[in-house]
Amino acid sequence: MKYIYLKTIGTMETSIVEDLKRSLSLLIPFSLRCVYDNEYPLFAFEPERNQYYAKKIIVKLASEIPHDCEKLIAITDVDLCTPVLTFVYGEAQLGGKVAIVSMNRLEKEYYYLPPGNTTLLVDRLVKECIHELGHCYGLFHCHDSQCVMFFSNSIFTIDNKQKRFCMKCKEFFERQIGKEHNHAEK
Amino acid sequence: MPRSRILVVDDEEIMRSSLSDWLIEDGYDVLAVEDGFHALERVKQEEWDLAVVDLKMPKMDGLEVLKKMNKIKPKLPVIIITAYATIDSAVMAIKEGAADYIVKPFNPEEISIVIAKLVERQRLIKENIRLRRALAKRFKFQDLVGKSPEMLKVIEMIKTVAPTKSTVLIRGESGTGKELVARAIHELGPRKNFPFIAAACGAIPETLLEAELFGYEKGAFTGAVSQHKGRIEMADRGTLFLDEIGDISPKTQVDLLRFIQEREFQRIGGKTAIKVDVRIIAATHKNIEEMIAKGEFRDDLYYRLNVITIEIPSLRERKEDIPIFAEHFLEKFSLDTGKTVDNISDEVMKILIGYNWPGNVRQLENAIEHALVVSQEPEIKVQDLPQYLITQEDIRDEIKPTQSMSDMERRHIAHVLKAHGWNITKTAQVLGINRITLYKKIKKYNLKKDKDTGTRP
Repeated sequence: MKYIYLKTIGTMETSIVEDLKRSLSLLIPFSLRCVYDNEYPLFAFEPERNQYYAKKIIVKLASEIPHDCEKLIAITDVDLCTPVLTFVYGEAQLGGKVAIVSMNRLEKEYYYLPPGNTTLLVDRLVKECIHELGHCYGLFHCHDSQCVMFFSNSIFTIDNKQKRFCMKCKEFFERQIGKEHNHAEK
Repeated sequence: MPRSRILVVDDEEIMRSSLSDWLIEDGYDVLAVEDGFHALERVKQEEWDLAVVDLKMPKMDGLEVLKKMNKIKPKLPVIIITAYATIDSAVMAIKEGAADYIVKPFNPEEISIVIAKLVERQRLIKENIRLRRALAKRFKFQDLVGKSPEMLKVIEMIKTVAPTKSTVLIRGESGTGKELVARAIHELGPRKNFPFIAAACGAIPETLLEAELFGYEKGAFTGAVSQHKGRIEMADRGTLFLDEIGDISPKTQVDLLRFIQEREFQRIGGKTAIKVDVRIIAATHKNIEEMIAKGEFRDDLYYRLNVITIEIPSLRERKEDIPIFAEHFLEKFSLDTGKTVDNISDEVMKILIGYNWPGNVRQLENAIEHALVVSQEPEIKVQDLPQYLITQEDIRDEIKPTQSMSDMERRHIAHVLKAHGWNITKTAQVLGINRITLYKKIKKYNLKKDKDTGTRP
C-alpha cells in the first residue's frame, strides 16, 4: 500500500498538521502519513531575498523519498520563492512525486491581522496541498476561479476558490491516478 | 482549444527553467532557448503567441532580439524582462515596440495578468484574421447571382467602382440586394480589411439617427451617461453604408452634407472636430428626383451622393434570373438545414417565374426557405410553397393591362396581409420587406383591416 506523505519542514504545530491530515483524508482518495522534520533547509536559503528556493528543497526531498510513498507534500513555515517569482505559496514537480507548500503567507499575521483560530489557515493549506498534488498528477492551472487548480496569485484568489476540482480537472485527476497505478502494477 | 505557445529567451539556465516550469504549469506550451540567435531561428520557423526575452544577454542583447523579431513577425508581442531595470532601457524597449517591460523576479499577480492579457489579445487577433478569411471566402459574389444582361451590367459596375474612393448611390426596389452590392464594393476594394458599417436610416427613429451616426459625448443629453462613438467614426478607414437615405430628415441631411464636404464632424455635445477617412455608399428605393422637386430632399446632398449610380433591376425585370436564384437559395438552405432537397419541380418553377415578386430577391429567398423547411421529399412541390404563391392564380386573373405598378403593389400587399390575418411580422417576412416599410405602404395605400374578410383595400 502506498501513502501520501505529509512532511513538515521547520517549526510546525502538530495540531495544525493533524487537522490538515484529517481534512485532506476526506477530500483525496489516499491514506496519509505524517513525518516531522524540524530542521530548516538552509541549503535552499537565498540571503539576498531572505527566502528559500522551493525547487532546491524539492530536488533534495525527491532524492530521499520513502519506498511506500505515492506522493510527498512538504509543509513548511518558511517563505518560498523561485528565481523568477517574488514568492510562491507552493511548488510541485509537474507529473512527479514531490511538492512543497508554505504556510508563511497563509497565516493571518502575515497580513497584520490578529491571530484567531487555525481553521482559516488549515483551509488555505488544504487548498494549496490539493493544488500542488494536482500538479504532481500532471494537472495544469485551470481557468475556473472556483476550481482548486486555479492559479493562486494572491491570498484573495486562494480564499475565493473551493477545496475541490472542477468537473474537468476531477476527471483528469482520477484518470491520472488510474494510469499511474496501472503503470506501477506492470 | 490549442495551448498558446510562448518562447522564452534567457541566457541563465536557472531563469529559463524556472520561468518555463511556471508557464507550463499555467497551461502554456513553452520553449526556452539560451540566446537571440536560436530565438530568431525559432521565430522564423514556427508560430508563437508571445516571446519573453531577457534584456541582458551576451552576443545579442534583448533589444536587438526585439528589433529583429519585430522585423520577422511584426505582430508577435514581446515582453522584455530584466533584473537590472533602468528607466532608459525601459523607454528604449517600449520605443522599439515591446509589449511590456517587467523586472525580475516577478510579482506572481502582475506577471500572470500581463501574460494572460497578451495571449488573449493574440488569440483574438488570430481569430479575427481567421474569421475575415472565412467571411471573404464565403462572400465572393455568392449571393449576387444572375446571368441577365441587367445583372451582368451591375456586376461589371461593382468591379469598376470598387477600387476607387468615389461615393456611390445604389438604387433599386426593396429586396433587390442593395446592401449586398454595397458589401461587394467594400470587399473588392482596398478597404476590405477595415470595417463595413451599415446604418439603416429608415429603421432608426429620427431622434436617434443623429446620435447613431455622429455619436455623442458624455452628458450631451439626458441618458448620455458615457461617450458613444457614432457609425461614421466606427467606419474610419472603411465603408459607411447609408441605407434608405431618402428617409432622413432635413436636419440630418444638412449634417450629413457638411460631413461629406469636409470629411470631419463633431460628436453631439462635442467641441473638437473628428477627421475620418470613410467611403460612403448610399442606397434608396425612393425616387429622389421627385423628392427634390417637392423640396423633401436637398439637391446639394443628392449631387454629393450621386457621383456614381448603380441601378439594380427588380426581379420582375430579369425573370431569366429567377431559376438561377431559386437553385442558388435551395443549395444554400440545404447546406444550412442539412436537408437533402436538391430539385425544384417544373410546375413550381413555372409559378416562381410567373410571379411578380414585389419583395424581389429577398421575397424569393424567403419563399425558397419556406418551401425547403416544409418539404418532405427530395424535390420541392407546389404544396411546399407559401400560400400566397399557390393562390396567386386568383390575383393573376385580376391583372389587367391597364393597371399601374402601384395598383398592383397595393393589391398584392392587401392579399398577403389577408392571407396572414394581418400579422405584420409574417407579412413583411413573406413580402421580403422590413416592418417599417410595410407600415409605410399600409399607410400609403390606406389599407385597413376588414372585420369580416380581413382586408379592405
